[in-house]
Amino acid sequence: METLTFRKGLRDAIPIALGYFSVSAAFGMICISNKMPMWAAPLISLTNFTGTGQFVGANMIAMGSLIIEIILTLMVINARYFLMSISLSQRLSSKITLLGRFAIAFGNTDEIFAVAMQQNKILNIKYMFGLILCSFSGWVGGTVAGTLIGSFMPIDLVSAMGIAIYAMFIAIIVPPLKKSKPIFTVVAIAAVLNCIFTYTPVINGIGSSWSVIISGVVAAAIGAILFPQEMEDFNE
Amino acid sequence: MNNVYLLLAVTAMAITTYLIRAIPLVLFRKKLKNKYLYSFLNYIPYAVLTALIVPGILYSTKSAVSIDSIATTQNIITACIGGAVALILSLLNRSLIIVAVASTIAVYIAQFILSSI
Repeated sequence: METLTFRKGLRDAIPIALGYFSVSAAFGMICISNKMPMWAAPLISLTNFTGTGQFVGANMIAMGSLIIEIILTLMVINARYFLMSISLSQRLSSKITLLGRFAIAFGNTDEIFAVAMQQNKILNIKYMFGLILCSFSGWVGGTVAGTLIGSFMPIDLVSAMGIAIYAMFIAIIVPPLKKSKPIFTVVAIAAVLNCIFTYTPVINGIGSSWSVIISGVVAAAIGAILFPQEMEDFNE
Repeated sequence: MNNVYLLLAVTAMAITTYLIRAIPLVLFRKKLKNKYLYSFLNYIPYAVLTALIVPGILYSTKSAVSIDSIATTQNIITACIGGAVALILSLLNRSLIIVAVASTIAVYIAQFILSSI
């Protein structure tokens, strides 16, 4: 079996970096189309390093949502990282210092988590840093490229890009809901609930951010009660 | 756009995202045992994304001339066209960037046609 080195980490993350480059390029363009200054998208990618959360956050910034609404929505949407970090925590070598753990936490994205867990052995800090450095470069580089492209696009095309963020949301949820009846059910419940919250007089006074949070939490809770999933065992 | 608001929002996003990742990695070494909590956390991203799409997508294509009600109806039509393109390509398992670019082009063309009628 190959040992887990820094170089292997870099190499294993090349497919992730390429995928990240295109997604974060779209993120950069979307921020420009939402009339954010050029430094905004690269700064968000440098400090957040999360796909869905960044798109949702940028969307809420464009709508002028309250800071507390943004925090709550991100807590809800990023709750899965909590779970992933608990799993990853059990795989990290006991030689990794507290500082090392704090650094690795920043890079625990869905894709890096998946690749790290595939190794089926104790993970050292060199390998994790290789994975994270390569993926993060793709993420930030793509964002800068997208921001530059977005700044030179004609104004009509930029206004048409308002749809892009929603198109990406659709592209994230549709493939899994095709295969999974529980996810399909959760999606249907969330859609109906949020329409009720948006179009019912009086109730729609709570505002769009809160109705998204409530619809999302209620739909996921109903899904968990109706279709509890067996937990994957990563330690085999 | 207000730079102070933007910086505050970005800082809030960064801290929230980081703490959720860091706290379990540093404090929790035990395994999660509750399958209902596990399922809830798995379903949450899909549920929240859906609530963001429906009905928000309908109002996502405001063009430069979206002040009167006619323009709004027009925007809803272009948004539906863009949404349909995204849905079809996603059903065909196309990548995120392809779906985003194709639906943007669809909206762009639809805007052009509707405004020249």
